[in-house]
Amino acid sequence: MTVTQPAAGQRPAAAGRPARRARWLRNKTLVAGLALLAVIAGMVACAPLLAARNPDQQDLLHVFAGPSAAHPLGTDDLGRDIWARLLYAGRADLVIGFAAVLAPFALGSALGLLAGYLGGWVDAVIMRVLDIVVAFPFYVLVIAVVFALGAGVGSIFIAITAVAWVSYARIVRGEVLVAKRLGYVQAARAAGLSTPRIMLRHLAPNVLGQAVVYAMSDIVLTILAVVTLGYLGLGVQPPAPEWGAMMQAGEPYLGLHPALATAPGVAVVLTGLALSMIGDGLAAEFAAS
Amino acid sequence: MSARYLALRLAQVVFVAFGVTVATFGLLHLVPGNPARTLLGVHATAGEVAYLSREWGLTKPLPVQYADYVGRLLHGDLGTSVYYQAPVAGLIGHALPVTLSMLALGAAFGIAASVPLALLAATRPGRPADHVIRAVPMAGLGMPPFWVGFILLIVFALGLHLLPAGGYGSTPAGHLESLILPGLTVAAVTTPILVRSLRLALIEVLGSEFVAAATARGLSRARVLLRHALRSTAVPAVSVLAVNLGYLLGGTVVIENVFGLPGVGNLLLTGILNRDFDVVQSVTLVYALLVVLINLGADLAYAALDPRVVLGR
Repeated sequence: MTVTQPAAGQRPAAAGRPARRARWLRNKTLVAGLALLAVIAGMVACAPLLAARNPDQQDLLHVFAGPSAAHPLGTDDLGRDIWARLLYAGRADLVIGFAAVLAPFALGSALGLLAGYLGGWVDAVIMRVLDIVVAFPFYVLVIAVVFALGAGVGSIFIAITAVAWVSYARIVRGEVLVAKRLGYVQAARAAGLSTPRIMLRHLAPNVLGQAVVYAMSDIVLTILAVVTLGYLGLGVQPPAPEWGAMMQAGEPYLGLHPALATAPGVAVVLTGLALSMIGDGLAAEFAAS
Repeated sequence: MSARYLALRLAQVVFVAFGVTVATFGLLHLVPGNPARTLLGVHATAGEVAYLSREWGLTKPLPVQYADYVGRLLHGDLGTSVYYQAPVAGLIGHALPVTLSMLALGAAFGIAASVPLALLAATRPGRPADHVIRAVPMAGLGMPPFWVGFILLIVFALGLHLLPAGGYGSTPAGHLESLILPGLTVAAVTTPILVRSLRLALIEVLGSEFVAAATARGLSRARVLLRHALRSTAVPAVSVLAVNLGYLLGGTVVIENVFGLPGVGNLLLTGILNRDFDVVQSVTLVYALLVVLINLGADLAYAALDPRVVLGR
């Protein structure tokens, strides 16, 4: 944590917007997490500039090479540059991870909104389906769905969405149950507004905050799931670089060339740390406001 | 615990178990194309595929197939593994103790690591030790369990040659030896979750009146912490483990794969690799029923211990 805290009383005249901007800047966890994520995302985005080699180019005369000027992290079992593969793999994991949080967020929030506001049989059906989904261990159901649909990125999206929506539905439903007794919803109803209009224009903006905070911490688990499925050979298919698939490919060489399997893990841990810090920081920020 | 609570909770379990069988049955029918064709491959003749489809009852209407499936389940028939040429129930019976032992050892390691860390953090809130310990969950949650397994393998098995690198041994002592590294890996997943909630529970307890009363009676700091404060955090700790049970159980699939342990998780993965439908279907079912039953046990225990607990959300 290298972020320094501004000394108290340093901005006496600042009011309104500058003060609000300063408040989240003082949230060290959030700022450090955002900075770390920015560095990782920046490196991954600039992969062609930072890595001289093509991540898929094999060099069978120079396999398992140690670190050198040409190969900062050495080469893998097919002579491919580990550093280049690490950067390009990050593109796949970050993009898939972030995208795979959006669909469960949207689906779960919509179902939670419907269940909470409409109640009755709609609520009963959604909540009983939810009971059944949560009976399965997360990875077991995700793996089984990917098996049924066939390995690949599309299947990962569907599998994670089919399993992860439940948390969002629970959170949003709980918020709606509280909010629908409040004055602004009662007023909208008394004014004769239509049910879809009340749900989308009045309730949704007010109840989604908690779900957004949860989504930030859910990204960590989602990226882990993408990496895990890659490791099990069910996700991104080789030779495309992906952190989990790289760890699977490096596993047979754990004893002699441990960097192959452990280097991608360090990348995952750093990414997870950045996202956890952002999630914690946001939660604290949300609790404070 | 009222009879009404018990009846409602049991009805819920029966409904969820029913829903779970619908889900695992549906899983087989999500697979694009005919499962018989998938198993036999592209070179099989149409006659062979038709024969196997009839043999598996795939030509009957879906509701009839589902009724047959549940009927077989109720007789304890979990299907037959095409790959192992053996009943799936027997395979699971052999594999389940391995998975459960690993999980139990992991939970024990996790509690052994979390309690001192949480005590250290909670007794010094806001001090450097607290900050370091609060950072543990943040770093730990982002670690892929199988990567932690790699590191343990490199250090303890391949580097120091202290423990076996994989397999399950052949004697009880060998089993235990083989379970240590997987258990530590499970602990690496549980510790971040446990430390976070134990620390919060302890801080709350340490500020409560009965701790103040115990201190006022002149009991030593160690005795207050260990006998009074720690004991009252046992229930929240166990409930945190129960809530995360689904996540932990799912994580064992990957951990068993890293260490080559012959548990249910590995059974699931080899089943997927060999397109062994009955194995995948039944292992998925067993995992879900395990979660449902353990949660039921935990809920009934709370309800028996705490009269304030009522069913419903």
